[in-house]
Amino acid sequence: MTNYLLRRLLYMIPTLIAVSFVAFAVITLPPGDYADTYVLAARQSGQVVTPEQEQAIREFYKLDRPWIVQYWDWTSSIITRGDFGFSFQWDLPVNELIWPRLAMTFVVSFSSLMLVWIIAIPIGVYSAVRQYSVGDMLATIFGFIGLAIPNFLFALVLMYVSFRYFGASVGGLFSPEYINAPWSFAKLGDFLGKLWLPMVVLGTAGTAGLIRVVRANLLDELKKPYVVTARAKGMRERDAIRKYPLRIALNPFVSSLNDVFVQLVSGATIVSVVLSLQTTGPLLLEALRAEDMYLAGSFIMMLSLLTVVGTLVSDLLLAWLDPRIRFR
Amino acid sequence: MEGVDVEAMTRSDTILRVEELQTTFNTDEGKVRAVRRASFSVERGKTLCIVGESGCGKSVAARSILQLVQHPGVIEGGSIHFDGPRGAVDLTTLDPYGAEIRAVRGNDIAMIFQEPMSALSPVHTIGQQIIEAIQLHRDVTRSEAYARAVTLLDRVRMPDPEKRLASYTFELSGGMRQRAMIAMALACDPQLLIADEPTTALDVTTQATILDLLRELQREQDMSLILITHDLGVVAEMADDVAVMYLGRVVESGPVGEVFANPHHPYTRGLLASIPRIDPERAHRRFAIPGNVPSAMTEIQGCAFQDRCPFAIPGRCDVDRPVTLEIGEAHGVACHLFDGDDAASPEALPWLGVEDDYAPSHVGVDDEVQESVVLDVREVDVHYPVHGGLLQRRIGTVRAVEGVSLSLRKGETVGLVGESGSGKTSFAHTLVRLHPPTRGVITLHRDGREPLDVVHAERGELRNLYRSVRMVFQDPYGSLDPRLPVREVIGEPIDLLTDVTRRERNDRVGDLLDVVGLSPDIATRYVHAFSGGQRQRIGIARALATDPQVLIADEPVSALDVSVQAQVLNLLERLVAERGLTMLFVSHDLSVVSSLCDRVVVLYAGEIVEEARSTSLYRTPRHPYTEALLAAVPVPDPSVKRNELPPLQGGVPDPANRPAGCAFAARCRYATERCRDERPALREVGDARVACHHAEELELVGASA
Repeated sequence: MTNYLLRRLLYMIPTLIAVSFVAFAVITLPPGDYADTYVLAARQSGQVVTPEQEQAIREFYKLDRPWIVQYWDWTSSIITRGDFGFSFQWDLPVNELIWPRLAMTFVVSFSSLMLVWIIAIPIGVYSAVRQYSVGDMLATIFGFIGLAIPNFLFALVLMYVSFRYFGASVGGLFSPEYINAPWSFAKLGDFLGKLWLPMVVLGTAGTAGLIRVVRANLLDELKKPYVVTARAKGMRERDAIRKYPLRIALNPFVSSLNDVFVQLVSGATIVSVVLSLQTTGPLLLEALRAEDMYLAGSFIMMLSLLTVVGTLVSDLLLAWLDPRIRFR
Repeated sequence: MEGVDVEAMTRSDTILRVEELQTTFNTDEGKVRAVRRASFSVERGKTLCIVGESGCGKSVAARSILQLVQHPGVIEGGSIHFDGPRGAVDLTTLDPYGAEIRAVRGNDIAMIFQEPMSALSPVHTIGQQIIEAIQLHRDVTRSEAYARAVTLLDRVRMPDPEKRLASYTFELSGGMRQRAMIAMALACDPQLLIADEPTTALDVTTQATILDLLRELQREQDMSLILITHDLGVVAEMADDVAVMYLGRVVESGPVGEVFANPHHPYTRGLLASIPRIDPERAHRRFAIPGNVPSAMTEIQGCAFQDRCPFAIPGRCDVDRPVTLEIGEAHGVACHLFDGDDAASPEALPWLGVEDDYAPSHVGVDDEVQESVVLDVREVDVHYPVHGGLLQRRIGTVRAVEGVSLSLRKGETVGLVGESGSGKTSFAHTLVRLHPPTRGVITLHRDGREPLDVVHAERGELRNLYRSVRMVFQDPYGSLDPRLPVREVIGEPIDLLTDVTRRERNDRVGDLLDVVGLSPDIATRYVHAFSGGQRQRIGIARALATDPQVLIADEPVSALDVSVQAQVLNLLERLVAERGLTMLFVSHDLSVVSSLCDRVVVLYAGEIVEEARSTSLYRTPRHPYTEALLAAVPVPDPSVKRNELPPLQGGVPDPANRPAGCAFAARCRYATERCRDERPALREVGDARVACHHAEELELVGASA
């Protein structure tokens, strides 16, 4: 097991190097750079930018160097100083920009994920154990509707409803008066009052999908002979199902946890834009549009790292849960 | 007064009485009547064997006893009287989810199943599962339960019980898994144990040890046993009473000696006749019951067996349902032949039909005629690397096959025999290049063409190999693509390996279906519509599709019912004779091999330990392993006391860690110091080749039949 863990950690190194290389290459691939974007924006607002000034910007941000050199500067400062570079667009170090955003994204995603699990797993189990019952049919209908409605549309509808009927200020995670206020109980209450909307919006599709997954997995397991054995021992139906088929039916669910890690930090971009949430999605979108290369690159690196770590964690979790994997 | 006494007596002697049990599955397609008014009873401390082909409702009847039939199955009628420790109760009246039935399950009545691998949880240890079974019914602490679990494993002769409690199912061999399952069933000292085909998935040698164990446990604990099986050899060894089931009904029942000596029902007689016998002289014809068990969805008017019964009386068997007649001491039969004034005498009835009119007249290849060698195998090794450590370097070698030499001559059938793990399948796969051999030479000789080097064949040559050497696989369910119609399944090798037009190909598929005894009309249907025996015929047709020289049959009948086995064996035998095929028949069951093969090769831990002509191998085995394999075959005659040899314990040694001397020494009754130190070479002894230091001195026991 220790061997396995060490080997997996070793494999992570070349993976991350390759990812960072590709990510950086892709970001620098489109024609033009931040200097072009800046000049264009400046000219549109009526300022005059001379070619010398443009060249100065380029030199200041070291955009005139070959990209391999830029790549080397960027990655080496990440490794040595934990410095992810500088955001041209925001005129701030990337570190100052992304950590608050990541924290906020994590809170939103984590709470919606918990909502999904708490709702979907019991409903999925019920649907499987009482297959084709009225309850199962209702769960199925709800599930397919949930899957079919686009999230952003659902977000718009909910925003309209909460504005029209509850008079709540919509959008964002804080009411305007709290945005720049320091943390207090009042701010926390305001935050929690705002949180339910993205939670519900982001959770619906996930809940619908997970119900189907849990139901299908459990239905497969319920037919296995070891369930009959458990009943033949004299176990209560409920205990027998929880201890044997449900335990095994959750294995594929655990093995897909690596996706969850990515979701936790990537934040659903379109919904976040619609709800104007202070999460990572919209920031990454803007950074890519403005060719704010260090910011965009850092986000992509962060997502890749979490994918790799998430895969490792879910594999380890699976090995812990399922001895058939552990012993191989 | 007398009546009361009799009732009191029957009450105490009969632990379970099932009457007119009806279990039905209400599916979307219709009612599946799995059990149709079946009646049987189990005496206290005795063994009842329920026997019949698959699809006869044996398992469903057994599960109905504990109300384990799941939705959409329901017990529609009848009663199940259980005279348990808390008084007599009709189990059918209990709520299937209620506390009362749960107090019976695993406590008074326990159950074991066919496949211990899937019947035990893969993610819990053996110990967790046994301890749970104890604590469900006994108010004991965890450490007391643990101590009892150790005792239980010890009682089922599990080596190293404390260590095994921490093992998972996949770490154990098939036999050890079944022992663990039995230990779990014994957790609360049940009065009745229901064993549903407990040895069907096991090797003959392991089967012998498990049956031995069940017999001993039953004697020690004075427990009643219901043993479900399709193997009449097992019935003869185990049963006190027999109930023969056909399509949900008990058609004949009685004490085992009586039923075997004086079988009445044509179905019972058919089953008895189709038992594979150790018969290397081929003195007997192989019998098979024609046709198949009808689907449990069919509504039957009259007797369910009428369409397979040559004695069916028109106007009677297809109209009236036969009632059970008492024809002897506790011997009942449900058949119209024996009721009324014109009752037939069973002695007058011929045995049930032969499958076809082919009788195996020739006994293989004449010694005199040195037929040409078709497939020549020289010193073949098949090794697999074992990887491990941080960098997954090679840390060991699994020696699946070691130094095997064997030549198959034209028209000959050679049996390859051994337990699981003996390397049979690895060797068979190597012959068709499914694995490349690590060392050795394999040559295929073809009429009027260059010999083909199987080991180094590439592309075109490989195509020739695949065309000339074809396989029939063990599992007729897994080896046929469920998404293809029969025509494509059989036609695929023709398309891939020959250049014929589609039309010619389809004609050939029709001919092949005809050859294997199926109607050419089925070509457009999908395989799921067919029974196991029919599927295996399709598999054989596919193997014949490219008109091969050599057929490699890997356990082709071990997944089939006894009655169907005979049909498939007859077919293979006929094809070999008619087409001049050479066949390598791989099996763990010596009784099946005996009546089919000219020569038998016994494999142990990847090495040949004995090779001899069938006739001499069965009469005078020269290797102790062969003797043990022969002794493990159940004798289908309750009056014959089984071979007194103790069953072979343990298993084939780990092929990654082979012992230094004779691989069989650890399990051999005759092993000496020399056997443990020095590896015996394969050498000529009389007319056989044997790898045993003591082959000349030993007087080994052959087959009793």
